[in-house]
Amino acid sequence: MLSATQRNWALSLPAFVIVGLLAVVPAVMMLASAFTSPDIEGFTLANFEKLWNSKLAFQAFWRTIRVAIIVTLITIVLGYPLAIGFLRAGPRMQSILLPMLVFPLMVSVVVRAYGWIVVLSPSGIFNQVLLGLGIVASPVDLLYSETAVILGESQLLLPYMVLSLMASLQKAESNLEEASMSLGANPVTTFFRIVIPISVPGLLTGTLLVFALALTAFATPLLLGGGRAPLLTTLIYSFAFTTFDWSAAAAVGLVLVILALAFVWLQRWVGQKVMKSYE
Amino acid sequence: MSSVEVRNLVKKYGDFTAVRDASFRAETGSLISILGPSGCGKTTTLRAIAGFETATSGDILLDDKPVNDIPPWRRNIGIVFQSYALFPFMTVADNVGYGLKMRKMDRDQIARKTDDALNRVGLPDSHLKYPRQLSGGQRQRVALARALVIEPAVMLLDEPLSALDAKLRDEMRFELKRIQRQSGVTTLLVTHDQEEAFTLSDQIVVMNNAVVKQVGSPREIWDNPNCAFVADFIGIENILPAERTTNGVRIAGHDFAALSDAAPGSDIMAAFRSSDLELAGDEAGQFAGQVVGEAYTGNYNVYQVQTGLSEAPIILKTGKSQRLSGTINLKLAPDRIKILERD
Repeated sequence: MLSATQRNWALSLPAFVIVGLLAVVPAVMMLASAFTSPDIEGFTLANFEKLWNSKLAFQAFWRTIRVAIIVTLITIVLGYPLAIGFLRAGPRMQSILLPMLVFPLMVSVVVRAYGWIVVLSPSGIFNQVLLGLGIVASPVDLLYSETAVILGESQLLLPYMVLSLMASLQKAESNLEEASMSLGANPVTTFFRIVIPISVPGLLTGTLLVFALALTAFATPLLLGGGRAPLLTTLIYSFAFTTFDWSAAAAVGLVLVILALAFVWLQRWVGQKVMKSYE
Repeated sequence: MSSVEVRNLVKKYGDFTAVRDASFRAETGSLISILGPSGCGKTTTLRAIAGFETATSGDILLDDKPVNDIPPWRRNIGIVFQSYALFPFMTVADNVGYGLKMRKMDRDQIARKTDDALNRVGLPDSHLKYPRQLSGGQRQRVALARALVIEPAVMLLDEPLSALDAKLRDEMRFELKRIQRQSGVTTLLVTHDQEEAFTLSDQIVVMNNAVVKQVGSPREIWDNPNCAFVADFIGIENILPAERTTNGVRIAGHDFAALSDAAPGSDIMAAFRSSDLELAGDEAGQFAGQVVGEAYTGNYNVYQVQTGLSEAPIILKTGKSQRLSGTINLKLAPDRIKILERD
């Protein structure tokens, strides 16, 4: 007979094998290929040197961070009113609002990017309105820019922020705001001194989700940013499938992984500092 | 400190009336309770005084000045919520000091007043703890300190003891009264627990179905409930439909002498406590009954007695040494029969 521990290992072995083959092996191979080059024997840092000297890669690196930060900030600023409005709405209104909030998550990212193309293109709705109102004389070039990527990703990721904020705001007793007001704090002061601190756990979760997803988003930057505003993800794509430089693609991938891990670490560090008074 | 008055308060939510024409007054420094079952409108009334609900009509007066148009954050009212509503991410000291900070006091003053308030509620060294590290009773003391430290015109307590277990509840009842007396703050308490209302209050407002049924001191309400609802709510066991006669009441054809100024012939309810029924022994009583049920409750024996007065058995309470069975004769003293309006 097998002991309980042995049986548990035996039962989970197929899962380990599958995960190992499908996730760990490719990851290790990617890691390895980042340090190899067809021209050089053995391991080398040539790929990273090339990236370091590439203006394009540098721009993509900073643009990726910039876009992720701006998208996160936008979803925070828009997320609070939405989350609070949702929780304040009556039960009937909530049953209408919840599907509206979650529905975008069920629509393909590609479809939504095309939606933005329709809105932002030179003959699109946005330019039509601007032209019609006489605000601009000729169409504004919005598509295939960093702005378009930020708009698209913000809309894409807003539900994650709203749902995270709602989860923590919902848990807070509704009387906390009233207690604050009875003690002499007006609604604005109450919002900043009570509601925001209460929502910090949700804010941390939402920030992690949105930032990580913005960092690794691919379809939206590809369709809305195009070649004119490459991010690290689209750079990987063009290295891998346009110039077939798989080693360079792997090197960029590694940079992206390190960036994401650094952010996760930062988020946890901030979390531990702040959450001390919450647990 | 101020007096509080609620004058003809009406609160409607669409077609639903939560409070219908409620009026009562609490004098400066007194403790008044609103007593009633859940859904009777007592919490809505409290929230209207705090300013969280706007009155559909009627007035809230503090020190005889209407405050209907003053928002909650300028009313200077201290509230202790049923759940205490302590700010979970703040220490005890920060919780208590919050209201003082909003009043733009300087650090030293806040620290001094916070110390003082925490001493008053008997929590002298919990400044740096967080609410989650405190017991239920301690949380309540913090909530009390937080409400008192701002020197409110009125302190409102929403079911202050309901979240505590029985033993702690008794202890906090005394504490609450002591703290209220020492600070001298006018206090309005909302509760569904008649014992809580009777032991703590100077005045009791009994509410049911959005209506104020009776306002009076605990003794007045205990001795002279004015309607069947109040009588039932304060635990009078036997309430029977009756008719007023010239010198008493007639219950199901039986005449009893009673003290009342209701007009003869009018339909009323007659009520008497289980402990006010007397055994008539062998001499002729006023009515006879058959013991159909008995229960021991430690200090008392409680009996169900089937009589000609009503279809359901009436309740009789005797001392623990007195046991009854079979047919018994009963009588009722005229001053023990309470005459009530029919609801």
